Amino acid sequence: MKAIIFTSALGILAMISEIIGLKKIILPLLIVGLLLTIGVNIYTEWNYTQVYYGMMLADNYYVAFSTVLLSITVLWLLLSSESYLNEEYNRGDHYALILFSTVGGLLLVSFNNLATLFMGVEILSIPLYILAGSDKNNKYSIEASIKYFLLGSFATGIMLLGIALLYGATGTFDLGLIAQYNAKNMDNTLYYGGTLLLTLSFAFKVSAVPFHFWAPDVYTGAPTFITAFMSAFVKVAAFAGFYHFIQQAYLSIPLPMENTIILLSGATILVGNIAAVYQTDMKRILAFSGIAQAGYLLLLLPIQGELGKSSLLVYLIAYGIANLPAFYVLYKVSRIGGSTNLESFEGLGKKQPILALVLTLSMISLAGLPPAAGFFGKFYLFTLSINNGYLWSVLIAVIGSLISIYYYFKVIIRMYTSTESTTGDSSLSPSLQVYVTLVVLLVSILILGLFPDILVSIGRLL
Amino acid sequence: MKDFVWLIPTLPLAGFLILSLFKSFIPKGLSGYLATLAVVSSFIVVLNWFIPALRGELTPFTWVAWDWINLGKYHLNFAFQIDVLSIWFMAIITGIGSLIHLYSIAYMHDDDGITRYFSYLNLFIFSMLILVMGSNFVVLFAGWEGVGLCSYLLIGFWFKNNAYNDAAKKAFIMNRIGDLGFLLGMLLLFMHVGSLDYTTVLEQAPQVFHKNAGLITVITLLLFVGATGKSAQVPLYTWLPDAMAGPTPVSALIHAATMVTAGIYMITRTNILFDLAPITLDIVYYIGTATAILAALIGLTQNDIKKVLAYSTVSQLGFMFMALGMGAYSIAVFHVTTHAFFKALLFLGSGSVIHAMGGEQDIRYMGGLRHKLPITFITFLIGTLAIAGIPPLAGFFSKDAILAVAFEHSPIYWGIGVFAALLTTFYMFRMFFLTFFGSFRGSDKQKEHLHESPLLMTLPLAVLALLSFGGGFINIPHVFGGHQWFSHYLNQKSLVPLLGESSISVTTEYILMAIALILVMATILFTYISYVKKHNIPSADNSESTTLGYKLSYNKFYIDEIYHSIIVKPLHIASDTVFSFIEKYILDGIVKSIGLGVQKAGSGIRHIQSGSTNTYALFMILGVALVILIQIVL
Repeated sequence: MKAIIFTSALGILAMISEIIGLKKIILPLLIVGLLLTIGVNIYTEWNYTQVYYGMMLADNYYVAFSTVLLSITVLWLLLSSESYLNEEYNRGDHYALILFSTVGGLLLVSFNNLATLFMGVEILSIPLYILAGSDKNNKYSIEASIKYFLLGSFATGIMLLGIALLYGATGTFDLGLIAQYNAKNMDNTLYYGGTLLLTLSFAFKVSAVPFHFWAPDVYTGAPTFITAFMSAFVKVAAFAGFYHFIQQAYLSIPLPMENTIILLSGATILVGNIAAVYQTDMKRILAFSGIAQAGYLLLLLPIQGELGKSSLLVYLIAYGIANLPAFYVLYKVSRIGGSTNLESFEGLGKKQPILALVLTLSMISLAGLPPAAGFFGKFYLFTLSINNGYLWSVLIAVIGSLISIYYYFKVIIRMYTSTESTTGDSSLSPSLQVYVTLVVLLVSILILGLFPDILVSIGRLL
Repeated sequence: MKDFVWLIPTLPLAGFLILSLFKSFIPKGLSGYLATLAVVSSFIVVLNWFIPALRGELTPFTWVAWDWINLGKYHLNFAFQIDVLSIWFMAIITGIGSLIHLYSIAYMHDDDGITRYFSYLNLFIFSMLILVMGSNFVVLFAGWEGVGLCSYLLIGFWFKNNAYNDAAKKAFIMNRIGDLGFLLGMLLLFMHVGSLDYTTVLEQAPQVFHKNAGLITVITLLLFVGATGKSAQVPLYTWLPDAMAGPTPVSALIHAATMVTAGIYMITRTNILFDLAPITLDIVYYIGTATAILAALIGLTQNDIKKVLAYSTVSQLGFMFMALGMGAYSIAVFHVTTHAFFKALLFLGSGSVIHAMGGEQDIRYMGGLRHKLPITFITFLIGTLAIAGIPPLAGFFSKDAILAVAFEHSPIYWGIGVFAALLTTFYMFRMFFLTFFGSFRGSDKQKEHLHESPLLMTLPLAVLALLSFGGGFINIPHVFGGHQWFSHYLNQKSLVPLLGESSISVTTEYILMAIALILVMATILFTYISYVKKHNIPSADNSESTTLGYKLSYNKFYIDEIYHSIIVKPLHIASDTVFSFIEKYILDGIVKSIGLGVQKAGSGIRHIQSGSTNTYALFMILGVALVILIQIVL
């Protein structure tokens, strides 16, 4: 609750920062504010489960995922700072929108009422519709914005229909009461239909096949850092909310629902990975890789209990910390090379060894190879899924992962390809704060890969 | 003492980090020495355990770096297992690795990317050490993927043209197929044993799989698929000869002495599993035999000095798998060892030749080099004699050991083995005579350039020649009054089973040896007559002979073409059809229309966006309908 209030206040501060003359120091102010919020949030809410006004459930699950979400926002603010110094974006407004979107994410991991869920999804999405189109002179950006908005509205429509059906079946919006209803009436078609539609609208948000069509276009068209936010923050928030919903709505997940999710997962893994192989644009590769990663994560949704939660936490953190630096490097390369095409990455290993190292490690982590964090994320997830009896799905996931190594390594090999220029390109050098952030992220990828126990033990407490 | 185990992989890793992070601060001349120092120090640390191991005094131990994965029931340490098997491989990797590093200092001295080259070499040594040192399958897998990545980076090191690019891609895809098998094998093991630790898996396997012969056969077959990918066996071998695109010392290190033996290491390490699955062992034998013969046949007509060596590597790996398939694990590792010596020697020798020839690799343009490159000539001769199996050189003992085991199984196995050995002798001496005898056939400019390589290159050659000469004495068979020291060495703590008492009599064994030896000598004489006496030089336009056999061999039995038409093409067609629907007509169509829209500007944009989004929305609704339909089915 406090986190939501603080973050909203910071958002308002960012919005009026230009008027009250804080434009120069707004970034450090927000970062300090968010870090304080994280601290207060953990300190006051951890191990202190509470329901606020029947609308918000603040349990350890909420604390863990809100910390992840707020941290992603902090990291995003640090990494994206360069683009705001270089380009003519309206900084304050951007930051305000990002913070409001963060609030939406916080609601998504804590809703205890379908009204809160709806608000969370919309607060998360609407600022992003605007941000996707923030590169006003680029037609693709505007196109991305409108496309995202229109298709997002469709998904909202499906979600509202689902909520209406649930209300029709149970007569309440309160998730606690809904769960009680479910315990008594296991086989209500109206109820099942409502949850199914809600599931599908979440599937849209996490870009699962066949609701993924928007993702590649929107990711490519939007400004790189907005894409980074969408691919890291939105995916984490949507998955955490998705899992929260499925677990709250059912005491035990009905078999058809389980099979539906497993089917979606298989389709998403295969389409995402195979399509990524054929891409030559790094932004599109990352877009399809994001789709494929959603496929693996879908396997977790029907898995109940602390193991499922801890695996979700581990996987999402590993995914987030690998994705953010990858987008940063992509931004840098496109600034110099003029495009996000794979060819722009040639010779990066010589020009900017640090950036190349960052991208290499994040690709290895996304590919799920040891010793990076992504390896353990996949290992944990696959182990759990096998124990849950999804042998065939894991088989597809393993094949998908092997395919994914192809396009992730394609980028790495490109970077270490010789080119004519042998000198370092200083215009590519990151600023100090970015440097520090990147090093922190790199070290975390390795530490979480080598000592995953840290996260698993936290995940057990959720 | 035990606490210093971590130094072994860490030293090359440190070398890699220093070289890659401080690239711009390290003078080009220094990087090679730094990298060599890292590997040599690692070798010295290895000696700490290697020497006691040789004396039979090594107490095997597991050094736990930390608790890696702890999921309640499942537990996995990041740990190194030091025993006679792993220390043996570690000694080969760091020992031969050191020599190749040293050699590279001189070989690569005028290359722009020398620092990058050495950083990759260090990273490779690190990954390979992780592969053999790990105490469970997951650590092995980490090293397994690590060596793969290094290999692509090094193949692509001279990324000047598309052929190299394609070579890296091919190596990549072949290895992915292998990895799929390996991962699935691991997955099944994990499901049924509940652990991936060697100790636990090997201890429990006999009980777990006691009643389930089919399952263990599937698991071992899958693991074997992984081995065929890494160790270049039929049908996944075609990447290895192409991987010769990289610098020659890399071919020596990765594609001859170390990485390709990973599959043999893995099978030897898990020999208990393979012993439970006799069917798999038979398949391993057949695949090994097929590889040994096929690669040797292709080697007969190749004219590129490195290609000949590459096919001989594939063929020799086939020999090792033959030994594995017959359950003679220690003999396979013995052949790994002698092969590492003489193949590294031959590759480095060919590097010395290529260096002298100014980059020329075609043996048709060489000839008479023995006068100009005396040290290379002598060491190359030793390597050639060793691979041909002339006593008392290293190759004789290991090859003879394999043949002896083969005879015990069946005289036919022995005959096939001898046939493959004769092919080896033929193409190796063909190459040797064409390179070093006769008259020089290159250009005048090349002739002037001819020179013996510097000491840094000839010194490793000399050391390797010495090892190729005497390396076989570690496993003198009983017939020569030896005690098969090496087989007993690997048998400590019954890690690798000892072969049963030989059932063939001493006289038979002598006769077999004599027959093999006479045939080999005859082959050498034949090649001498045809390539030195009769100057039977293959002509430059490849029309030396148009017989079917020659054509088949020269074109590598059209395996690449066959793969292209039965695998690559259908895959392309399949993906084309699948993606023409989504990619071509929907996404591409939209992209094209966007391009059109930009031209038309203004009104165009609005028009196109409504068009494309319509399609997307339609698909979304169809998706919802589909899922709801599925509900009825479920």
